[in-house]
Amino acid sequence: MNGRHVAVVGAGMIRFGKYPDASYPDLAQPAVVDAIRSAGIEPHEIDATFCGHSFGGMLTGQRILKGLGMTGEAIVNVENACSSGAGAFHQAQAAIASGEIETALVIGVDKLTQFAGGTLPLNVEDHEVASGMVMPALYAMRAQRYLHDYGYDADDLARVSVKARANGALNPFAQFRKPVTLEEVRASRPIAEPLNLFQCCPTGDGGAAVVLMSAERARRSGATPVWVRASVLHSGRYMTGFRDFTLPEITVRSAKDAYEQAGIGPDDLDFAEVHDAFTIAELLYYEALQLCERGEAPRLVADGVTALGGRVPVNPSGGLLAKGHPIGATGVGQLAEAYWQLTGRCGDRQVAGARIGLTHVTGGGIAGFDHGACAITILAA
Amino acid sequence: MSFSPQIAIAEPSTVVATGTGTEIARRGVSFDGNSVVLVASACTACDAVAWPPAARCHACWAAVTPRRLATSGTLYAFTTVHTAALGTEVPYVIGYVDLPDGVRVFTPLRGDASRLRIDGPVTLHGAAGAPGAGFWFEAAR
Ligand SMILES: [Zn+2]
Repeated sequence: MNGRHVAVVGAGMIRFGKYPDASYPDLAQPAVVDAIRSAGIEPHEIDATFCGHSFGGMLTGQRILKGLGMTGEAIVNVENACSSGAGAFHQAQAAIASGEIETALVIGVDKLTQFAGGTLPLNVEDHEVASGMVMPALYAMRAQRYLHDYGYDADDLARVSVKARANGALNPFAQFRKPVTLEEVRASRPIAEPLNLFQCCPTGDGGAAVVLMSAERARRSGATPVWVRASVLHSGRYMTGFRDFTLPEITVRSAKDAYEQAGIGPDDLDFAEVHDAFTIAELLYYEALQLCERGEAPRLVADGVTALGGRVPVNPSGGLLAKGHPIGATGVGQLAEAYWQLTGRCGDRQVAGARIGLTHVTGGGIAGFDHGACAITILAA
Repeated sequence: MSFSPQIAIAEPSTVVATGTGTEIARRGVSFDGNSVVLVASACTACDAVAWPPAARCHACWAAVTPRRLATSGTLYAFTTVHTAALGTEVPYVIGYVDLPDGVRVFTPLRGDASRLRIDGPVTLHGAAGAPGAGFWFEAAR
């Protein structure tokens, strides 16, 4: 890390789910209050707020904070698709590391029930979107190619959902708290072949928040610090030619940079929260994050390596598949989970002795890219 | 990429409107009677090829010329979509076709879906009045 050391000192989150009558402030304010209270500070001690969202409209951060008396300081609204919240976190830690501010609030929020149904609305200025591209279809084609290239079948995908739902059942913040069996995943209705309903993250709403401090400020406060060892934000590389759908280049690059920044390797991770918007995504990201060799990811799931109690639990929260994916909130929700894991506050889903954790989100839906954005954070107790 | 500093009176650049995604794709399709061909842009300096065609090279900003692409290729990946954007009729089939020109094209797929195979041969079809971008691929006969 360049500059001063930065700590996460508080986190808050609402249970992700469907809140069709709630406004953006309704979704975010409880998370903000919990994050600031858990940091043990007063609201006026926040020097700047970074608010990530994709569909909140103009001045979402200001609309949230006016009801909490937290106005007058800088509020920056950040849009980067599913990386909006983690992108806001990246900017906040940079502002502290540079010495500009001492204490920052990061908010992630989105409300997908505002749309009347169907897949996530993508931008029709994009020619692929205009011709029928939707997010499940993109991941479905990655899945088809992966299964074909490495000789796996649909059950290898489905097992990711079974693991996610088992973890979600232990997480009071998760949208889905009911476990599913392999048979139930197989029997769910098709969305984009070979992906079916239980292999896709649900539509939902959510808000999450974390408080960051400089090391000096954190030591003077009574809060329990978790240290930011790496924070990486990249855009995808635009390519017009052929690309390997089983190698998510933006995550490969971001992971490499994050490990280098933190001075650790994948073997040092005690857990990871990764962007499992669809089952295939989790498998591809095991390989991109170097948790295993290429073509081996399904074995990690089948052998329980990434289950709770395994060598490196992935998505102990239930991930996007079970916890939910209100897109701008997701990255901050992951960081809240990581903070709680590293401070031993996760109850039944606690990863025993967790000291180092990684969070990873991407943001897609744009022709010529693997994904438009990717944020990776490494936190240490 | 290299730039030389220009000393001149500042003037506004021209805006070239490319329109919606459908209009962008349509600009990359050419009809001649019953035959259809996809037309990419090829860079006059670095030979980067883009489909749909762009007004300038994305890699080096040099001028581009039109390049007609092969009308058959191989199917890199495809899927049948059962849940789509609100208001879109389902199911439909889409995929990516790799052309020998080094271009990967996102495309609707029509015809007998059971004949589509990953890495299988596909051919270009089109009709000037067809919806969307006016072209699609089918499994080769
Ligand atoms: Zn060029």
